Amino acid sequence: MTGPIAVTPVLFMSDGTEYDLPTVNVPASGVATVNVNNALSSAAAANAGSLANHLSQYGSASLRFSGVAPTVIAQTALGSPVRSLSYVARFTGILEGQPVSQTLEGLWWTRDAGMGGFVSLSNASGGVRNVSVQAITANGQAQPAQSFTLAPHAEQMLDLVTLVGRQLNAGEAGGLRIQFTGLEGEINVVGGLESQAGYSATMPFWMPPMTSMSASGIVLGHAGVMVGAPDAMMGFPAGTRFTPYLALRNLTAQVVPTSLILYTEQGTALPGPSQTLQPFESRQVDMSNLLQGLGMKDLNGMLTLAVGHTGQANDVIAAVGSADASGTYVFEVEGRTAEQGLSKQSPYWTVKDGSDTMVAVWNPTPAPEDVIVTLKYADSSGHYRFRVHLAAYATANLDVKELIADQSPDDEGNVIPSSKQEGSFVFQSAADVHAPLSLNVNVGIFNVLKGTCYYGTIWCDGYTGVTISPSSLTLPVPGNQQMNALGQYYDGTTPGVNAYTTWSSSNSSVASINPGGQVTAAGNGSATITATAKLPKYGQYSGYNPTCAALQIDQNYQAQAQVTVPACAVPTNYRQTSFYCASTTGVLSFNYTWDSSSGKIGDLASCTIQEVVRYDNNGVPPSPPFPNFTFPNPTVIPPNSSTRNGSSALLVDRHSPPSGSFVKPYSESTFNGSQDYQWNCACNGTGWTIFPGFQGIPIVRQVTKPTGTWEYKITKSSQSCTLVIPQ
Amino acid sequence: MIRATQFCIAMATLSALVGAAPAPSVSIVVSAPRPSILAGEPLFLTLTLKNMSTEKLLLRSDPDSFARVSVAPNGERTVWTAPPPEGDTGTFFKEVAPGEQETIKMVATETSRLTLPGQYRMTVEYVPLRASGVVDFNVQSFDEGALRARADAIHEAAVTLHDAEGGLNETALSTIEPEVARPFLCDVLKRKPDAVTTARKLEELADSDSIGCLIQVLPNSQGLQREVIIGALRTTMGRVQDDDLREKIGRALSGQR
Repeated sequence: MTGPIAVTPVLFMSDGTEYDLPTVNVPASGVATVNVNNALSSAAAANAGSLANHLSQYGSASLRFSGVAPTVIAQTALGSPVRSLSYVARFTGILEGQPVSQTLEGLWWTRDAGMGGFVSLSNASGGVRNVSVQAITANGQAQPAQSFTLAPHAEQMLDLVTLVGRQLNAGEAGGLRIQFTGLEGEINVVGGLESQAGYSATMPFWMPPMTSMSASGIVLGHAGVMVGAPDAMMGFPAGTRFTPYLALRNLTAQVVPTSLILYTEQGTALPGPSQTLQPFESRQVDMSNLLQGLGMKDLNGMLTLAVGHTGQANDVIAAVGSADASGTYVFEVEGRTAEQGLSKQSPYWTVKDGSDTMVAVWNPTPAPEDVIVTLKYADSSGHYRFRVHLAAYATANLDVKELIADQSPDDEGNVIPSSKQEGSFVFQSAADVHAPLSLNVNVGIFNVLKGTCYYGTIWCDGYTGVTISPSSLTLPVPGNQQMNALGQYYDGTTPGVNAYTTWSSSNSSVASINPGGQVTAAGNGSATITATAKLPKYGQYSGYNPTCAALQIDQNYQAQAQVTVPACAVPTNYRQTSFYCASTTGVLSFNYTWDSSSGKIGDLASCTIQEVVRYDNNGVPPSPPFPNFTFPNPTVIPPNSSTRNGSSALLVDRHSPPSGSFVKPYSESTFNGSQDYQWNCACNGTGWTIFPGFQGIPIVRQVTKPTGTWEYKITKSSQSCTLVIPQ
Repeated sequence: MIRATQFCIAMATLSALVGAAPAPSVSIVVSAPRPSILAGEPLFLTLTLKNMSTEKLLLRSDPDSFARVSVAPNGERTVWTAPPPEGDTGTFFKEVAPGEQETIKMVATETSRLTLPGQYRMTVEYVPLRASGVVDFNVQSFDEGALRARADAIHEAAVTLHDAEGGLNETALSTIEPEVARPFLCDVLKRKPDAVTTARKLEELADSDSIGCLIQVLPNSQGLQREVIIGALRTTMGRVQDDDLREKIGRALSGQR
């Protein structure tokens, strides 16, 4: 947004009791962070009487602000530095529509025997919701459902082991199915896994695939999976080594052959053994064995894991990350499909209090791609922007602390001041912020001292609406005007989107519009022009969906513009203003002028004015005595329609003698013509109309000898001009 | 000799502007929407005349107020000036305020006779005020197929575009060599009820096909177009030597007024 936004974080205790935290002002393009623990401590102290009975160890949060969602993007990090646990929860909106049966499918897995976990269900709606939870075995068998009733804004915390119904063994995987009837987003689900050793990971929950969608090749990219010893700059204790993990769950009733390909930072593909997932099956893949098989056992660095299958994006959930041997440090890497989209954002980076932020960007295409990464500062005071060139399938890994330490100026000469310790990211095509881009991004925010690591949520950029320029116009007939549909991009820019727009007019008899957006005035009145632009929607990369495309599909934004077509102006008061006789040439000239019915001569641009002269004897005067000359019959003046401009102020009419020499023997002779003055305005559709009093004006050309000298004489409108001809 | 005061004032203003100021009172910017033409194709011009004086000016808006000189790659010059007015003619003037400008579109009809391929430079002068502008254009080698396709496009524009633009294209088509343009001229006459320029061109060609087209269109023509076609057929009947053709024209006209 272009200005700060006041945001009130709202906490709901587990029983649904609301507690509003102090409002924070989030600067334009800036970031604000709120410590919930501190806020609750203050609340307990300040509201000992009223709130004390409702305070709980867990609950849910929402954000209250004015504007169009998602003007503010946010995420929640949950953690216990004492136990080096960390989880991520998202803010999701409630979609409009009719209440229907909703399902979320989750995946859990274990690293060690005796691991546990939690599933939190929070009711974001204002009504009571009944939620059923089912554990799904590794081979896809659904266990009996357990039902829970959630009061408005209430939260239910469930124990994973209890849900599964037994202790969990090392190396297991399984599923969870959450179902309720309501609107999408009304029940928020967060799941976490934990071990006594400190291993923690966020359980992914996805919406199941839609049967109506067609199958295609799907690649879930996981950019920047840490392998082996980390970069010394990251500050991990000596001897720390990371081993990747991978858990998969098939959300379909079909067998899904799934490919695994590891890509090096340079883009070299290392295909691993394919995994054939039985219906609803969950499994873990031994990544140590896989790396050994690929000869990468001793690799130190980053890899990108691509999990592929044919079907829909939500068919296969993948949980990917890396953990050190003790499980203290866990870098989770969220999987996202490798489709083409627009720019992307992540709401938070930090290097505060010993934290650091890693970014991995992967080019999932066979063509090189240039990406612009922008680090915005939390206080909205500036940014640091740099270009990253990605070869085909290559990954670039960036460390924010290193960037700050490096102090290299970007293309705009900016360096990151050491005082800037928080902010957000934008990832866009180097061609333009609005240009299509295929890019997988993963953000990891970690703190070696606390043993915590959160991944940053990624948000899909797009459009919030469309406008038309001009929004209103007055267009006389038969005028044309190009209309332009301008998309309202999330960042306030307004690129032209005519290529994605269809146009319509509420009244084509007043103003029609063609597929290219050109309006043509047709008749007096007003009409509403509607632009319908099919654009990617600006919205969250939902935690329940691995693809931007599913969120952005078929968003039809509409805008309207008013077209007023004024009454048709026509020429009036046509009149002769002067005349002139050139006695040396015998040319008789007249000046004519006229007015506009609207009072403005310029309004007659759609009008043409012409003269027509018709002659006796098909334009051939009697010769002798007239020259051997033929008048075009009828003569239309001016001869070409391109020069008959009604908005001109003056018409000078010239009547010349027939070209050539007069032919002897002379005799008294007359040649007659008849002249009309007429107008035609495209806006009134009546065709040619003769000006009143200007029809059939005689033009008389004579060879005469009134006083003993032969002369040529022309007479029109009671004015004459004579020329003495050779005697 | 009779003079009217009002007219004298108008003409005196124009005369003074022609003769008095050492620098032109108008500036001219010349551009060509299609600066690369085929040999045999005319060049369309767009002229923007801006009133650089402190007085209102009356500017002519017809092509005959301009003179043009095109210099070929070999230095050869092609000059076009307006023919002296004959018979009954009329000219529009438009009032242009100081600092305002007027756009005039025209067809440089003489350019369809340029045959030497290469880069040309044309100087266009607004004769009444001696102001000029320059435009460069390119003439490509003669290619009958390409010229026919271009003539087709021009003829379609003549038929479908609005009054002024349609008129410009009609003029342009009439300058293309008859072997290429004739069928398109005939189609314009059939489809464009106010195609006076085209009727005159067919009258000027006066060959069997052109006259045949006039005869063919006559029964369905109306209004002024009908008058023009009848006038053209009467004129050509007095010119053609071919008895069969004369008889054909006679039969066509006998059924008319």
